[in-house]
Parts: sequence; C-alpha cells; structure tokens
Amino acid sequence: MGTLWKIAFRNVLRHKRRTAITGVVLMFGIGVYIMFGSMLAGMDRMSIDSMVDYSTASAKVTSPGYLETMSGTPLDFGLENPAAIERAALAAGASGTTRRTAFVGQLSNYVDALPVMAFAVDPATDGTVFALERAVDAGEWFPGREANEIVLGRKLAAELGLSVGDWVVLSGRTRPGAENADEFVVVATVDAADPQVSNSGAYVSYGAAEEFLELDGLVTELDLALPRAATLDRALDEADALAAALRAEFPELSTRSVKDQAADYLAMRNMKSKFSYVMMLVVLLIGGVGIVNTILMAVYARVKEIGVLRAYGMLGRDVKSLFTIEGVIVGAIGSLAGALFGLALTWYMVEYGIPVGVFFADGGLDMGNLPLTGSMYGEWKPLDIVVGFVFGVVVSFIAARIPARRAARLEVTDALRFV
Amino acid sequence: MKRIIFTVLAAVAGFAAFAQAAPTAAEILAKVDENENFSSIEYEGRMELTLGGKTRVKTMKAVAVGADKAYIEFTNPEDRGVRYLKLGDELWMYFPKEDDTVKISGHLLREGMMGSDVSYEEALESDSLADIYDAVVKGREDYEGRPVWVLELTAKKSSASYARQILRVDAERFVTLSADLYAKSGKLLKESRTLEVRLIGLRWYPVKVELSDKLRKDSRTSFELVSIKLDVAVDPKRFTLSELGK
Repeated sequence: MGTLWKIAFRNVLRHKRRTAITGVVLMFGIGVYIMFGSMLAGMDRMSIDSMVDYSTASAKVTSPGYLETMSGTPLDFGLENPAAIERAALAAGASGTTRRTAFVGQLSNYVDALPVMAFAVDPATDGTVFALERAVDAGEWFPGREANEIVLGRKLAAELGLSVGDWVVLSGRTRPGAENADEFVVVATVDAADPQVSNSGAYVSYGAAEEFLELDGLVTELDLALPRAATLDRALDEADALAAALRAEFPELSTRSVKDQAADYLAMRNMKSKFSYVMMLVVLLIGGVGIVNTILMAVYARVKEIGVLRAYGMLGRDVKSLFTIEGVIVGAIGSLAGALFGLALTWYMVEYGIPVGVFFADGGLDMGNLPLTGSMYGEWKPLDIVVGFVFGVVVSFIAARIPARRAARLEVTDALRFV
Repeated sequence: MKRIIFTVLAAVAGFAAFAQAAPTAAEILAKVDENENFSSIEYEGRMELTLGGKTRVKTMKAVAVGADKAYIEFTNPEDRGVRYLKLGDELWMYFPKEDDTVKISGHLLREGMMGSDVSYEEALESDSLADIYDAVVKGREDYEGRPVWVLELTAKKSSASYARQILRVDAERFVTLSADLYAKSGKLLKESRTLEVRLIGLRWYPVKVELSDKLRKDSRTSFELVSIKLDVAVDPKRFTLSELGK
C-alpha cells in the first residue's frame, strides 16, 4: 500500500495543472460554503440581537392575561410586584432589568396623523436592557427639562416632518378607556437597527405616561437582559435558562425567553440551514464532477502505463486503489485549501463584517424585518469547517472510484495497444 | 327710588320667568334622546370621507333595532358586499372577496370605520348620554340661525370615551346641532355638526351630520341618511352571524 501511495503522490505532483484546477474548484466550493454558513449565522445573530436589543429582551415577564391579548396592547393586565421579579432575575444571572408598558397611540402634527407603537419606559434603566438610548441619532435621551417628552423613531419623525425640539400631539386611550391627547416635545430621534422602531416607535417616560394614560402604577412587562454570549446558540440557551428559573419562582406569571418569543423566526432559521446544506451539496457535487474528470483524464493519459503496470503483475484492484488514492489526495488538497479559504473569509466577516446600511438605506432594498443599519458580521462555525473538509474528501473518494474502476477493468493487451 | 324698585322687580320677574322657562340639562337630554333614539330604523346612507383634499364616497343600507343591534351593508362599487354586524358591544365584519367574517377587537376598535373619522368603538357605544355624563346648562345662544341650549357634559366615569363634551341643542326641536368632544387633557379632539334635520313623523331627526378630526388637517366625514324609516318591523334573523356571511 505504501508503494501505491508513493506512486499516487508522484502522479498527483506530475500533473500539477490538472491537480491545481480540481483543487481550486473544491477550494472555492468549500470556502464559499463555510463563509455562507458564517454569514447565515451572522444574519441570524443580527436579527435575534436586534429583537433582543429593541423588543423581546433576553426574556420578558408579563401576566398570562396580557400574553393572551397582547396584540391589542391592553392596559388591563399588569404585574403586581415587579420589584420582586427584578430581584429574582438579578439573582438568576440577569445583567439588567427594566419596566415597560406598551400602548397603541396616534401621533399628529395637526396636519397628518399616524398610528404608533408606543411605550412608557423607565429612562434610567431602559439602557441596561435595550439599545434604544445608544441608538439616539439626534437630541438627548429624556433630559427631563419638560414634563412631556417623547423619543421617536427616525423615519416616523421624518414622515411627520418633525425634528428635535418640535411639539407633537400624542393621543391614546387611558387605562380606564377614555380618549386622551396631549402635546409632547420631541427630545430625541432614534435610528435603530430594528425597522419597526424607526418606522413607528414612540417612547415616553413613565413620569409622563402616568398622568397621560392614568396608569396608576401599571407595568405590563418586565424585560430582562443577559451578558452578551459568544454565539447565538449559547445566547438562546442562556435566555431559556433564565426564563426557566423565573418560571420556577413565579409560576403564576408568563415568562418567555427570546427563544420562545422568536419561535417563528427560529423555525425559519432551521429551514434555512437545511437549505444551506442543499447548496453545499450542489457546490461539492460540482467539485466531484471536476475530480471525476481529472481522474478520467489521468486514466486515458496513462492507459499504456496501466498496461505496463498490469504486465508487471499489478492486480486490477491495485490499479483501482492507485487511482482512488490519487483522487483522494487531490480532494484532500482542495478540501484543505477550501477550509483555509473559508477560515480566512469567516475571519474577515467576523472581524470587519459587511456594511448593510449601504444596501438597505432609504430607497434601497426592502428586507422586511432584517436590521437595516450598521454592519452584518459573521459567526464562527467550527463544525461547518470540519463538515466542509470531510465532505470534500468523501466526495473526492466517491468521485475517484468511478474512473478508478474503469482503469482496473482495462485488459493488459488492450492497454498496451491503446493509441 | 320708585324707578329703581320697579327696575329691580322687573329684572327679578324676568329672571324668574327665564328660570321657569329654562329646562334642566337632564330634561334637555331626555328630549334629545326621545327624538334621536328609536325602536328600529331602516335607512340608506351616504358617507363622504375627506382627507387631505381627496374625497371618497361610500353608500350603504342599514337596519338597526335599538342601540344594540345593527346590520350595515356597503353598496358602493369598491366595497360592495362588505357587511358589519353589531350585537351589543361586539362587532363583526364580513369580507365578500375572502368570504371571511372577522371580529373587530383590541386596538382595531380604535381605527376609523371604513377609513372614516368614526371609530368602531364610537359605533359600538349604546349608552345614552345621561348614563355616561353629568350635564349642566351653560346658557342659551343663537347657532347658525337657530336658538340653542349650550350644555356642558362631564364624564361620570373615567371610562367614558370623552372626558368633556359641549353640546348645542336646538332649543325648539331638541336635536343636537353640534358637539365638541374633548380629551382628558382638555384638547379638542373632534367636532360634530348637524347639517340637516328633518321632521319624520312627530320627531325632528338629524339626517346629515359632519364629523371632523381636529388632530388632522382637512379630515372630515359627512354622513347623510338618504332615505329613512323609523320604528319599522325588522326581521330578527338579520342580526345573526349566519346571515352576515350569506
């Protein structure tokens, strides 16, 4: 077998150009697959991060009644003792907690009126859970100079022709059910990665909302943050663990991790990852066809050589093994190069990312709920690198068997007479 | 001296006469209710929705029994076959293209009905004004050529849609000619104006009303009862969900 490997290596090196072409095909296939996997994982991370940063938090505690009627953002179901839940969450590993009360409102500049998804927030603690404060692109996060202050999504403000310092009428239903409308000064606009925040987000402080909505201390949701995890899967698992700890302590409440809240998205993600395997199969099959072609060329170019080897007593199965080993060597070189190429591309994606704002800016591509600003970063997926390499070698092995079998079947006399 | 005493007596007598003639707010509201409430109604209506200088027209046929049961079917080409059924404080909508019936609930109740300035919630309200508001007579004045009583209504409960209303009620016909609807903050939210009243049988009834949203520029909805029959017999089957989808 050692002799066969030696001959195979020598043959691979002798046909450098053919080996290089096949290796490059495999390298690109596997490298792009690894980068593609990293990019998809990065998109998932970015989408989930955006949810965590602007709406779902790592986990959310509400009353069961609120959860059932959440689409109507009712002011009927509050949390009785949010302070106790906050203490328990911090003890269970949460890095921050904040209170929010969502309500449906309408924003008017006396010319036009637009529906908004409004929140009463605690300006002091909101930043410990959500990224809204960090997303302020103009003005100041609740400076407290006016009683009625409002922070608006950048696009929403632009649609109503509002700038920082302008006054706007916010209308909504009070907790008991009466219509109310009052003037608020725009103190900041936010350019958030979450398009819903930019398009229809309006935020007032609990101080102002108490009187405006007659909340009487109502808090409809408690949002919890966790320290940033290295990978998405870990972030989801840690959020699940935090939610489970709180569910055990407060079984009467509804505690949902980001995994629960983003269940639909995550189901789509699983489908997407299956699709990526299909893509990988296609890419590697193309590489496999290249290997079949390379080995077949080698077989036809060396028919006389095969005849001589057989005449000297080499068995058919040895010939088959020789050409199989040659294919595997070419495949392994290509797969290794592909893994290294994929590593380099992933490193670039993880370190520098791709600036998505350039593509998704105003008037650009509409990507639904995908974050529209900042850069999209890749995620390290070591398993994809291993899978890419192994798959490349296995496909090469299978691809090499076809021409190798053909070479083994050649009759000695036919091979020696082959022109 | 005699002249002064005579003047004072005349003033007192005049005030007494006015006081005797002036009905209380409760009496005025009762008369308004008497005029505007019905045991049943059948009408063909026309709604003009104006927003930002553009006007859309919708037409409908409707029947209602009291304030709790109502059935409306739109007849204009764009919305032909769209139907609403109100049963108490619940509202369903039927979409003919999808052959689907949807219950209007949650924040959708705050949306304008068919894009109008009348919210579904307002359409669902069935309590009389006297049940929801405390009323006081603020005075008597002329309003667009008619003598009116000015009533200030203050919500009895914090759940009332509007914290305060100012009504101008025709002093002779006891029909509401205008209503200013205020938020809890004191901001004027909507204005309602009666553009036409008609004598139907023995009662005066508003047949053309315009509602404007004061938080939007040039946003108003006018509603006209083109034909109207009051206190008619209505088949109770009309107010069932199975009928809505037929």
